[in-house]
Amino acid sequence: MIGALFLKECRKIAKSLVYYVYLVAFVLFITGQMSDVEWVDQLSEPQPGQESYGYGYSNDERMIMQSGMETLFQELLSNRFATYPFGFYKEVTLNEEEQEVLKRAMQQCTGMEFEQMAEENTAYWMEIWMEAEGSAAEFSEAEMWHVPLREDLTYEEFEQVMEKACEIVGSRSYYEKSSYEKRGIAALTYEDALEHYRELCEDDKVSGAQMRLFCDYACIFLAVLPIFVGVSACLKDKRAKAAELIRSRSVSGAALIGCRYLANVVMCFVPVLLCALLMQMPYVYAAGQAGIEADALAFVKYSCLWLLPVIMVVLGAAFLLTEATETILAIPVLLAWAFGSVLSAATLTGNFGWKLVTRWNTFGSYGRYAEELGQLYRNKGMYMALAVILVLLTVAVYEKKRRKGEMLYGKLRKNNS
Amino acid sequence: MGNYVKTILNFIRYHYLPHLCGAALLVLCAGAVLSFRNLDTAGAAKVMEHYGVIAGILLFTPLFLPESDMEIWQLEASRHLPMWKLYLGRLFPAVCMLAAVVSILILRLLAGGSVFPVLILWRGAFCEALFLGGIGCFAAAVTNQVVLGYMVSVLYYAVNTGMANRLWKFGLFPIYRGDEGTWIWLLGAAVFLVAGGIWLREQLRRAAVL
Amino acid sequence: MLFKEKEREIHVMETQIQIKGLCKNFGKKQALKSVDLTIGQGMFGLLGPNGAGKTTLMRVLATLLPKSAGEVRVCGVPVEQAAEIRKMTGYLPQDFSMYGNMSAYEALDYLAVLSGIPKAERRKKVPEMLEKVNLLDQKNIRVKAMSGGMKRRLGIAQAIIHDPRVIIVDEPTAGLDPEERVRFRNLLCEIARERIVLLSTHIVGDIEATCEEIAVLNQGEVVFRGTVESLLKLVESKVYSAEVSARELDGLKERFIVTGILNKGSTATVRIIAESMPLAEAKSCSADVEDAYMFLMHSISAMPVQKGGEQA
Repeated sequence: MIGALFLKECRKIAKSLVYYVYLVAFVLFITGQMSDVEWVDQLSEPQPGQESYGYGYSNDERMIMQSGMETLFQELLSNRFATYPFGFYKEVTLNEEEQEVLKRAMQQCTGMEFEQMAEENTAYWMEIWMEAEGSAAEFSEAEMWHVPLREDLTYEEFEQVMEKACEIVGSRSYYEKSSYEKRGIAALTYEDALEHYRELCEDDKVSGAQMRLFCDYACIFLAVLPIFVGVSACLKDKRAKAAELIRSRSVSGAALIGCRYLANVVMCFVPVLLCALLMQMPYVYAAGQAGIEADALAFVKYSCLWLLPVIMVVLGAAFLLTEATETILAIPVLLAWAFGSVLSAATLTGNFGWKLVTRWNTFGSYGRYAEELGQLYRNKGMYMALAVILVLLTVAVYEKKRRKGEMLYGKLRKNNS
Repeated sequence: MGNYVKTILNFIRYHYLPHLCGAALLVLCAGAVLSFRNLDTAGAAKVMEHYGVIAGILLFTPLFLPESDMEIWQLEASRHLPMWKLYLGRLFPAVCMLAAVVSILILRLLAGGSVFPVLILWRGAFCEALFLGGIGCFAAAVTNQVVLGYMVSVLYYAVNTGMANRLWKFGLFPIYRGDEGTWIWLLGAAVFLVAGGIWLREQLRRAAVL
Repeated sequence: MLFKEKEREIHVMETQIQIKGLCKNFGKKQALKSVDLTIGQGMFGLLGPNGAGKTTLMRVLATLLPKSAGEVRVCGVPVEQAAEIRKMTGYLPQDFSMYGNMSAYEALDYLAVLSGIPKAERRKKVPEMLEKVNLLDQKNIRVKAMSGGMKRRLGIAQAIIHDPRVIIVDEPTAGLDPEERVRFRNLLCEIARERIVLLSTHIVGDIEATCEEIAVLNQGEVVFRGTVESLLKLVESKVYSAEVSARELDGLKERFIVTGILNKGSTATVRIIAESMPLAEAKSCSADVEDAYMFLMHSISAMPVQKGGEQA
């Protein structure tokens, strides 16, 4: 009976217009994003004597100071400071007085006037721009910013400047100790690059690195798109005026809501899985050509770990809010959650925390990923558990409505009037 | 005239009030997620065009909410008052609220010491919100599903975050991108979408497609 | 002997709906006021004006509304055991509707799944039910394209597909043309042979044609309970017909209960309910349920209501 109900619910979803918009939007978005990924070069082993091996994160104090000053310089130059006061991205602009304080602090650290540094950097970027003729690849290869640090600059001095910046810009900015300490960027050496290559071939088996990137983009879309599918599925009974009739049948609320929920999860997840499989194929093939053994099942592993909990929790929340209110309230609430989560990412790689949208916008870096894997498991496990709780609550709300013969929202309104 | 006012008030009371509250909440929450201080034109445009325009989606998509119940729709269609007049009447509170939302955000920017061309930004943000709302309104009108209206307008917004410059005159965030002249296109498109949506919707109902 | 008696008692208990002191309040409004009813096998009609509480009573029986007070047992099972009750009842709401893009077959099959009918049985029963309600030829027609009559027939098919012992149908003939209505009544009578069919309506003709036993509800109270014959007895030798001039009509309506007027130019044939001969030229005629119902409702509005059982 449960199986038959599940299949019937799947069929119902497959007949809905919202689902087709979901399919088209997901496929278009994900193919649009993934087609920009440049990965073929990364399958060849780095050779000694190359001009550049790219960049990576470093714990070296000098590197942290360099990155911190560069960020301060860049933000001062544009007078746009990124902060995350409530977990959402908020841009702060400083008045001239505040800017002057920070410029003077920078001058102390660099021994150079801010305006002079700005001129030099602008000239440098113009040169790069002319040479690269707008090519993004060459552009990204360029050194970021030229901010020379004083040779005798101590870490304590640097910390004081960061503290000052944090005071002026506001809390939850880059200049908090916990933030800048983790984000020292340094140019990779040949050894680093070789290690990264080894990670890509042995740990990630190529397809793993690609699937993390796939999950990074897909996660954003899947925090948004299933909202509409879930809300539409829950409002279907009301729209068809069949709610009372369905409530009078002998099926239990748990079976009905459970099957509906499961059908929605499966119908949302299967196209994701198929896309992942199709997108993984060229990587597996190219890896084979380069003599690297790729992980053919990476698409299942990463999709299930990274994306399934997101679909589950978004649908669970959409189900609960829609069943409880019989309105489209879930749409603005969950959109705010999803966009808030995307904007709250201070870094696009890692730092998973408890965010709904977990990012890994880079090809590779398995070492760092392995370090953060524990938090990713905790994050995804928590959302899976939350999804189950939300569905159980939805069942409780449905049964309550069934017993009371009216919706919760309607009852509230009646009591208020 | 009294009848028009009554139908509008009924619509607000029974269907539209939560959406008006949503738009008000959008303004109230702005301080928590946005900074209004010392912004230049691009910064102010970001506040208005990335955030303020969401009010358009909230306010214009649910204009056909009562008629998602086909019986109500049939009943209204059988009345003396033409449907298009009924719909146009509903546009009035939506446009007023949108104008209020845009104005309040602009005033907050000015109060925060931001410097920008006030009229150009007001006009640009208003037309842009109208256009984005028009997309939702059109999608909801021709499918008779409000959820789809929200979905399509949100997707259009999402597409623009990555490729607004590839959408010709209809890309969002024009002032932020340094193109002030597209407001007239956006306004025209909004009018076309709302009017076209209303017309097409009635044709579809008569043909019993919806 | 004693054992057999006990068995019979259980059997009677099991094919009865027992309602004792049932109250249902919506805020301050009392929709049902201490309703007492026992409903046995066969067709049972629930009659009453709009807003009398018929739908509320039916929704309580179908476990779609909780009662405020009293005791309700359906075939011996207390109505609080909703899951058990739902298994043995079939419910056809006032406005039957299903997902518009489903075909008749799909809709019935879906609802059969929700009633827990296994696949093999569904394969047999769905066409059988569609056949029974004369919809098999139109099994692929979408619900949104169905006429009112077709929808009602689909509604009755879904209410009986899981072979319930109690069927609750709320105003099933409203909006049907006369031919459909007759067909529908016959279908209900056929079904009622082995079950309890509780039929609510404000169309008196439906009751007259189908029900043995009836109850009349008014403002949440049972104002009559008994057989159709006993209802008719209320107006025995109180129904008259007379030919009067059109000018006299208003005066007549003020003095008597007028249940029918047939205009014939300057004169009209009227049907009057009166305790004694209303006019010299009036002729006594046989009463129908509509007359009895009108008489009953009129006498209730004229005097304090005496609730429960037969009207005194």
